[in-house]
Amino acid sequence: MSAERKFLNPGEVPAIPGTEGWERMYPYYYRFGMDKEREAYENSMLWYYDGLHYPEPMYPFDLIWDEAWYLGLSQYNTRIFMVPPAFGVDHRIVNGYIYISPVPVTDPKQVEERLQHFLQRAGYYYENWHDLYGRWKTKMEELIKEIDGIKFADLPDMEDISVVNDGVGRSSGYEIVKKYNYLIDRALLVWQYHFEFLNLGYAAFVTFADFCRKAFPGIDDGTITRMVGGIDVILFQPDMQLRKLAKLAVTLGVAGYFKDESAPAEIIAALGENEAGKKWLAEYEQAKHPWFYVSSGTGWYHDHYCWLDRPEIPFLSIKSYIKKVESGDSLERPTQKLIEERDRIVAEYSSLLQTQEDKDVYNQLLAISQKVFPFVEDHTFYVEHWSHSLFYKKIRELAVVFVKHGLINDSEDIWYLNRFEIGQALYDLVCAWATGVKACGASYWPQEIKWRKGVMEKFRGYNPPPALGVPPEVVTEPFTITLWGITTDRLAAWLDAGAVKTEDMNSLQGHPGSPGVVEGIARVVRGPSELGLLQEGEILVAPTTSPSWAPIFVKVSAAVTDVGGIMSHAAIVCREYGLPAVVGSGYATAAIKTGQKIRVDGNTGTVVILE
Amino acid sequence: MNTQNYVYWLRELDKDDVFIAGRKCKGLGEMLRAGLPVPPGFAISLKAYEKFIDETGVGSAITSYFEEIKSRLQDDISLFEKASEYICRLIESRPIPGEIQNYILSYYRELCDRCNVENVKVAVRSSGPVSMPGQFDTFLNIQGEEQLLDRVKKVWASSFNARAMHYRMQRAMPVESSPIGIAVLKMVNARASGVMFTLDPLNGDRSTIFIEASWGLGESLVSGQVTPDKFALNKVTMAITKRVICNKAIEMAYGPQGDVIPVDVEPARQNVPCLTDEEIVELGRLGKLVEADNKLPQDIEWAIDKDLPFPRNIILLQTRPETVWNKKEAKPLFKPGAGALNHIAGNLLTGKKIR
Repeated sequence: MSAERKFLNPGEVPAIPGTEGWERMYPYYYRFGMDKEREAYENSMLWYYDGLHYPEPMYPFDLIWDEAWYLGLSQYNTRIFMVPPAFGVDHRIVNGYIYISPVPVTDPKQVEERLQHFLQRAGYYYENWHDLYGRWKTKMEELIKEIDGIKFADLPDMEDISVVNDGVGRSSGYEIVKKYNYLIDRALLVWQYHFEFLNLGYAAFVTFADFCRKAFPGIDDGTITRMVGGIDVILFQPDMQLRKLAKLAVTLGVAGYFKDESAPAEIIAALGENEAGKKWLAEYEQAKHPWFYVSSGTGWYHDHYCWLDRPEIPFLSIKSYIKKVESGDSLERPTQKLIEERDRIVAEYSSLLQTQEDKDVYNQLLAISQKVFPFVEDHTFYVEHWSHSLFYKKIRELAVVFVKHGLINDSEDIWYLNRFEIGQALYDLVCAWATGVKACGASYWPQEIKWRKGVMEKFRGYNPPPALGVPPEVVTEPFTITLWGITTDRLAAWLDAGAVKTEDMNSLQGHPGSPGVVEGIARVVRGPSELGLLQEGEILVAPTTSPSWAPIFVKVSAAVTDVGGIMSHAAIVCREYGLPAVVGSGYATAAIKTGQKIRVDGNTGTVVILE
Repeated sequence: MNTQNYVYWLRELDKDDVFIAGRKCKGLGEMLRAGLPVPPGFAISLKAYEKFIDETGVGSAITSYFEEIKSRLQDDISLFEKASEYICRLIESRPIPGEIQNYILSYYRELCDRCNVENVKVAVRSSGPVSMPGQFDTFLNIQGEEQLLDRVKKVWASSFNARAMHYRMQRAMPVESSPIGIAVLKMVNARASGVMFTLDPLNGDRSTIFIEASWGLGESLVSGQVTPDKFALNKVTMAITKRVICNKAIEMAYGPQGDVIPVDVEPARQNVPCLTDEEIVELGRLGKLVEADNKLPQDIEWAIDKDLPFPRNIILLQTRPETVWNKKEAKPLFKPGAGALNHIAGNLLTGKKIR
């Protein structure tokens, strides 16, 4: 890439008319260009749009997850494991979309000093991985239980007599503020744990992947992950439960209740009237915890409802699985075959290495990658699915209180306040409650929210540029490489694509996420709410996808995403389901229209619009 | 096995059978048994040659002819030419004994049936039991029973060409007889042909199979008249990882005289892939087999025969060890003995060049 080719400077991004003042929806430290010095730093960096996590503009409240990992990821690189050449990843918002930038360690002396610490600290974690990971699961489960225990209820007109008799000395107003702060604290803690293993997991995996690419320049990323990937990963559990329930419905002879047109509540009511049905319901209840906390999306947005919130999603796939069982499909995953195939691939690549030294390094790096990989694959269920789904549920409880006191008109309006604003509004609310007056926010928030909704709508109709600023010579930050897949080719493609209008593109280059070639009709799905539109055999085109979309992966013939590398959720789930996938294409949802015929080549990472 | 011992299907021959129908036939039989498809065909044995020489009296005629000139042969090399002329005429004037002729023709008819082509064109190739490269004749594009029998005799006669006789005399081998076998192989009616490397010739990647292919016979590729389609396969997963489809405006074909001539490709075929995906994968599978047999990455010539159904239509014509990367000394890729943690740290320090 030539030096003079660069992206827009952050300050040059045009404002969207009618959104002026949008910055106040987010904390001040997310703004570009506070003063000249900061602007000079920002203009010297590469900022890329994190569409992998944020295919939609940021709701002020949902920004909490971004804040959580701003701290979480960066501190493990910079302050805890002392990743030698990489500090953290910096964050900004423009026009409602998140841009991030890896910060390198530029002083060679400092890199050298950090290296010694890294060897000691990372070494400890790699060495004690299984033990530490076992403790991690316990920590997470306790934390999740704590979150589940937090309950928000309306404030009483008069405190209970026990407050007096027990000499409690505090009011429900104080308690609700405390609970909110505690809930926020727990949410941030979840994300502290999220990164406890992830940076090191990626670092080990990247090293194995780089060794493979050096030895076998033609190897594709999908094959590398197949070598280290687990077979029984937690993320497939929710879907496995549905398969089990479908088989059970057939065995118990209650499959007839699962009519296409019946809603979950009707089916459940009907099943409750007979013994076999009750048996099925008992199994269903058991499967729900914790597996139905799986989000119908990635879990990053409050409207990515989990299966508990939207039982029609799991019921839809139970129905389709029942049909498969009735037509003779066992619904068994060929686990043994998958293991054998993985082992064959591993052995065959090893046999192609030419020196014993190479074989030794290959085996070492493979072993460590296979050791770290279960965490890399499984942590999302604990964090983005289970914890997030529970957390949204709690905030919705609080929203009901807000509505009651007139701070917002509808409980779903709460997401238009950021976490600090909710804290302020809540304090406003309890003071007014204590004082016996109307909360000030009632005169402020409804109007402000109306304006914010308009701004969000305008953000939604805008295509954020994939990158801003100046690409560095070298990227050393493991996430930037593995998760976001920032490479020379990717940046060049973004630069080239920037010169062509997205609607005029007829082919796109992304990463080969999962092998295979398929031609078919495209269906652009911008979020989980549009999943119901997918028809059998269509190609899913989405900003990004989630493994919890598993039920629809039974239907689609291939997947294409705007953002993501080989470890993105879409790539993982497609490899598991044997569907071709192209991930990180940059512009698929903008360039491709529903109904167009496209060819997806998951071996080379190309998507061609055929008509 | 056969009840006769004059004609054999190639598949009947194995590695110890060099004295049944010569080295070439044995080699083809071995490849078939290893699952490597060579052109379909049959072998005419050394026994058939011997019986012909005996029964037609050619043998005794040759012996008496040599008795006469023996004393002068040492001084006058040109006598070999004369002898050769005389013997060849003699051989061609005698009919092949009926029994042998019947066997050859019945195998030929069966071959036509198997290929589903009437009077299938064949190559009639000599197959000596010892290596005497290029000494005997080979005839291409032979069609019909009459031509076939004629060329069989011509191949037999070629064991009496001047070079061959001189060669035998210098090595104190019998000059008047040198049984050779014959391979009768279907001429590949190439829809497409090309080369396959069982590594990536650009970077030596041994996990890649690289194929170049164009329409018609392989000569256009060798002579560089056409930019071929290029395909790459992952050798381990057998996924097709690259397809570059090029404009192929000409193809090579056999002309009326059996020579190879360039022919225009009609526009509709010029820019479409000349191999199907299943052919690419099957070629790759065969490449892996050849490589495993030879224990080295290979450079393989192949063709797709339009008379035969998939997968029998894929024919391997020639294979040899790849020459560039096989000669390079293999050096360890990462510093040996450093341990996983040091490799990880080293890799972080290097980072990814993106500009």
